[in-house]
Amino acid sequence: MSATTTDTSVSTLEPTGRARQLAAIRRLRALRWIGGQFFLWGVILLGLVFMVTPGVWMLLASFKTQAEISAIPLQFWPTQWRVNNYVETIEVMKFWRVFGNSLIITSCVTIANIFTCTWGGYTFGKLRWPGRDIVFMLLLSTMMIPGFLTLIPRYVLVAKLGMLNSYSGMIIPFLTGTFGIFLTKQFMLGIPDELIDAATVDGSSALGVYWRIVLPLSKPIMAVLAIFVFDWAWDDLLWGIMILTDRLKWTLPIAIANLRVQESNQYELQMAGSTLAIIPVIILFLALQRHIVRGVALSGLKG
Amino acid sequence: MAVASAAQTHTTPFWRRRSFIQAATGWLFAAPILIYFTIFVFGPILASLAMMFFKWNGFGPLTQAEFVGLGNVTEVAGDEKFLGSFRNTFVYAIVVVGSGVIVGLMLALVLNGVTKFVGFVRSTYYLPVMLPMTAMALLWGLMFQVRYGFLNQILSFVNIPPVRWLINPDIALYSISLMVVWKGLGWYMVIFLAGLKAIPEEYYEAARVDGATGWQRFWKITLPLLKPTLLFVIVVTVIGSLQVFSPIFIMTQGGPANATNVVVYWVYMTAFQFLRFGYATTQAVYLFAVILVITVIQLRLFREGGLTSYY
Repeated sequence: MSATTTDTSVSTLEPTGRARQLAAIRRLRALRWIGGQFFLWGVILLGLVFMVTPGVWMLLASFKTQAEISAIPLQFWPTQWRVNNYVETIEVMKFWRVFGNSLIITSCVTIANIFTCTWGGYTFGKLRWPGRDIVFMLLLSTMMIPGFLTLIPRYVLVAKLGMLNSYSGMIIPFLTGTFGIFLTKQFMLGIPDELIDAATVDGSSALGVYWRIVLPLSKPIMAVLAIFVFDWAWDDLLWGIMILTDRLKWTLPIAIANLRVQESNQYELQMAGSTLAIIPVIILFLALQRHIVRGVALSGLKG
Repeated sequence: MAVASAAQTHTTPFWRRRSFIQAATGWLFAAPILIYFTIFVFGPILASLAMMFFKWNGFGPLTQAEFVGLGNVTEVAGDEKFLGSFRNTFVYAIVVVGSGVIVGLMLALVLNGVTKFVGFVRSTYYLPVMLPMTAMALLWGLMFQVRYGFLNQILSFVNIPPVRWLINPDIALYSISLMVVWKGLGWYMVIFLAGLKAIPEEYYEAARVDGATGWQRFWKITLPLLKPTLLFVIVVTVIGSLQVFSPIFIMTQGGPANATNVVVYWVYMTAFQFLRFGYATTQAVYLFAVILVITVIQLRLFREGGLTSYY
């Protein structure tokens, strides 16, 4: 309807049929574009709701009573914000102890990986030595070997070394990783050799070059590595339940998994515990989200 | 000049020569890495191949291990419970990777079509990827509750009868897959979006001039040029999915009726509940052999470019 009225107004201004036709096509294109955008944003918003709702529901549930969580029909908001759930969860989970264990283990693994992976990247990417490429291929071939294959021999090794129920049992088997070395090597190919040669001519040793030139220039890849090693180590459950049988040594994922067994009917405590477990990750994510998403796109690292 | 340097190489002892110093430096730098890998990677690989042939409870001294020859290998081949976990693992991997790739690619195409708020949308989709699986499994376990769980209550608004998410053996594995896809979707999307952005706009312009439809542009331009990305995503996620443990351990413990029993969970149980370390290792080697075959096939299927072309 409106199209025909505007059409007549156009025709009084521009009498040629050709111009009218063009205007109509342009209008159709614009309408189609708007329609397309509506569709795209509809899909995006629907997806956003799907992605965000579980987390929001968890947060709200962590303040509810058990009865409110299992109310029929659904009760979305808590009638009263029960902060006490958190107090109780912290006690039941021995939260601060467990959180501290997780923080120590994860930090050690992360810091170690930053240094070992850049060390490996430098050794295989920048140093020139006979046999380098063969040795690197040998390391790279272990990327095809999934962790579970060596799970049991590694457990036996750690047990025989007397590292059960200790931080070292959680840290030492994870000091470096093939993928991290591969990633830093690829990154370091971008560091100009001239810089390194110049430093060598000036009398720097290989170690000096690593410390004073390669390391400072590798900050972007170190950030990417740090984020993903942290995220992965923070979430490890399988190795933890194998190595740590002593409650006081437990990490956060073990304590969370245990909530399901120990507090199987206390949903509010389960949700409070889950919320507590994700807080550090959320903080990390909000602080570094630009680096994270760019890092994933560049490296394809999986959290 | 050349004569002088040649003379010099003859007079300087070998440990002063440049080539020797370079080689020594390289090997010295590589030594700690090689020692570490020998202890924690190559050693355990050989050890698992050896442990296949022994019966051992995991706690006594290694000398108590009893040599059983091919006993474990033949037992695995006829172990219904293990073979069941094997099937479940593959169904799970196919469902998770298949829906992750398809939905993730569709989302990436959608997000590639808009210009505003892209950063915000990407980050929000990516957030669940970063969140700990243990906490999310606990959350979804509660959402999957039959009577008052969040999902069934939402479904009841549109008059869908309650789904027995984790209780029905026919559904449980798919329910867990749904949760895992939800958590991983952002990763697929971000990787595909980066792949899409790398396709030069001119190709699409040219296709448009030639009158290609959107559908044709997708099949003739987008998909072929996305091949290295697709290969990378599939190889990485298949290997990852075949190792699923945490969500199973937290949400179902392999039940109901072994419907969600997966290989890594079962390897863990065989070793630490039934104290059969040799047999558990045999199961792990079995899965690894199959993964190796699949990976080789995948790499063949996508031969051009190969994995390294992604980087």
